[in-house]
Amino acid sequence: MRAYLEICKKSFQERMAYRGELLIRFVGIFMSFYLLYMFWKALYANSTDVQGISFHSMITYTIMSAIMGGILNIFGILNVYLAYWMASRVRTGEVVMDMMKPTDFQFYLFSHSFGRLLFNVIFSVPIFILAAFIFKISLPNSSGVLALFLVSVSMSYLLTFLIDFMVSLISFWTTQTQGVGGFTRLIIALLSGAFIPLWFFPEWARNVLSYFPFASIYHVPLSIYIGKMKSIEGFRAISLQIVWIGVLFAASRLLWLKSRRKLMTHGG
Amino acid sequence: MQVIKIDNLYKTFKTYKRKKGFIGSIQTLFTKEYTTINAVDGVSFGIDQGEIVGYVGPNGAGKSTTIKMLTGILYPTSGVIEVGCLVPTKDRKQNLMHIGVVFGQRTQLWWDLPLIESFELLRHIYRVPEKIYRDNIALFAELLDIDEFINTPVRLLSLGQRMRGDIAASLLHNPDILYLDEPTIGLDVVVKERIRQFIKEINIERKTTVILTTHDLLDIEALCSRIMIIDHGKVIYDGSIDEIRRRFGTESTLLIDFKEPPDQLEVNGALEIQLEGIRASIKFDRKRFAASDLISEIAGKYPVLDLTIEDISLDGIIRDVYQEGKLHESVS
Repeated sequence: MRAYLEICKKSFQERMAYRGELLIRFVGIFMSFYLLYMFWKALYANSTDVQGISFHSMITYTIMSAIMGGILNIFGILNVYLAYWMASRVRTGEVVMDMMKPTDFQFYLFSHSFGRLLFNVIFSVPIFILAAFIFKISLPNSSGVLALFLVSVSMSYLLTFLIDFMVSLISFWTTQTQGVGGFTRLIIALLSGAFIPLWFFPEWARNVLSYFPFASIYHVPLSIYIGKMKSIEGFRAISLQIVWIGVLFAASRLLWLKSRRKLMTHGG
Repeated sequence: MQVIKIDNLYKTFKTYKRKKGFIGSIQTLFTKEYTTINAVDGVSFGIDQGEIVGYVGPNGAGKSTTIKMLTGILYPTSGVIEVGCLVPTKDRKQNLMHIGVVFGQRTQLWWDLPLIESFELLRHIYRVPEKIYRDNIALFAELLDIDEFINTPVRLLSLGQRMRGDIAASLLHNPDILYLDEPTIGLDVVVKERIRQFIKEINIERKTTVILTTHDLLDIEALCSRIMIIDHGKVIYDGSIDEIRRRFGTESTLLIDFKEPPDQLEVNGALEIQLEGIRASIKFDRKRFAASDLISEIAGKYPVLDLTIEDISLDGIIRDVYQEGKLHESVS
């Protein structure tokens, strides 16, 4: 247990090594916020209310989604960080050094990813404060809603990690995962409500999608945050998140046991 | 006591056949043809506790693949591996707790963090008691001078410093067995010598079993009493260095400078003669001809200015063994 905590700490420290780059990222992030703002402003030009959602709520949803994207996916919106990292390590053979530790590989990677997450959360605090100021993002209605949101976001993180982990294991079979990574990114972007909230989808699509794990990642916590998903509905959605975490965890263990036999490393 | 037992070990890789060029690469997308490579092809050996064994062979011979199977990260296609009574792929964690591994071309150190941070992390991963950890750091500081750069981020270290850091990292938990895969690759002579001294010291002090792969045969000469030569996945020689010298190292070269370039040079018993200006190099088999006979024969016919005799280097011997190995294969 201590070992995993230390991995997490080191991963956090590692992020701190490149402080100079943070400022540039900061600027880039606000430019993307501004684009999102203009996009929704244009769509809301002729109405104050779409599907019962005010422009103000929509902006809160979309900026919070972008901030979440930055936190969960480590390098910005919807980048599949882990898959990218693993593919490059499988290709160069570096993955051998990670597997050669007397730790559980999946928990090793989780600790690594968690250290980055902590860094991103801290990095996101000033972003959130500044964004709240510029784009008039509102806070949740009550501390209960905030608590529910935080629980739900934590589940989102676990889901993201599990999906990322499974995608990254594909590189054990194919060596390269950029194609698969791009595909996953697209699927998550479209079906999770990260860009377009699910209530803009036709009803049948919305019903189907709400059962998928992707919708659990963005749509659920953000709907809770802006108050569209009320307590009972919120609890149900979080339960579904937990079910998905269980299913994906079991699946990822199986896939890992299969994949480790597939490792091919030539030379060195 | 044998700490490593390998019996009839095979590892085959399948790779898709790739065709050349642009059209070829498109064809590759649609073919299911693949070639199988026997990276390790029926290897058997045993290693005793405290031995330092040199595991040599040309690039792609199967050395690293064997080591990766010994660590348990690669699964053998067939065959038996036992490391200290454990099966590496089954008892993966336990096995890894008792071994140290250095791959010269890779690093287990955290690139962006000071060296000491990687050591701290390894201390927790291997659950090294505080006292052993401190003693080891002090020992490595003394023998490898790691204290000079222990607070420097790894990416800023020179190759020699990084390698010393990697070797120290692999020994922090006092492993019983140390696998060194090309630990001196790309290093200067001073660092090489220092690493050799260090390995020797650790081996004597701690009875650590060492398996060393390298292309630098000076490493082998300095450290190993036993050498295993592998080529095309098969062990083609397993024995002492003295024995290999006796068996293969009988070829010597006689270098002669003449007063004036001879038109033609004929020497009884020469295996190969090269003549360039006034200098001739004559290869001969020391078992069959005495150097003195050769010299008196030549000096009788031609005016000699200067001469030296060179014994074949271990490098040359190994080259001959590789070639002989290939010979065996083309026959079989």
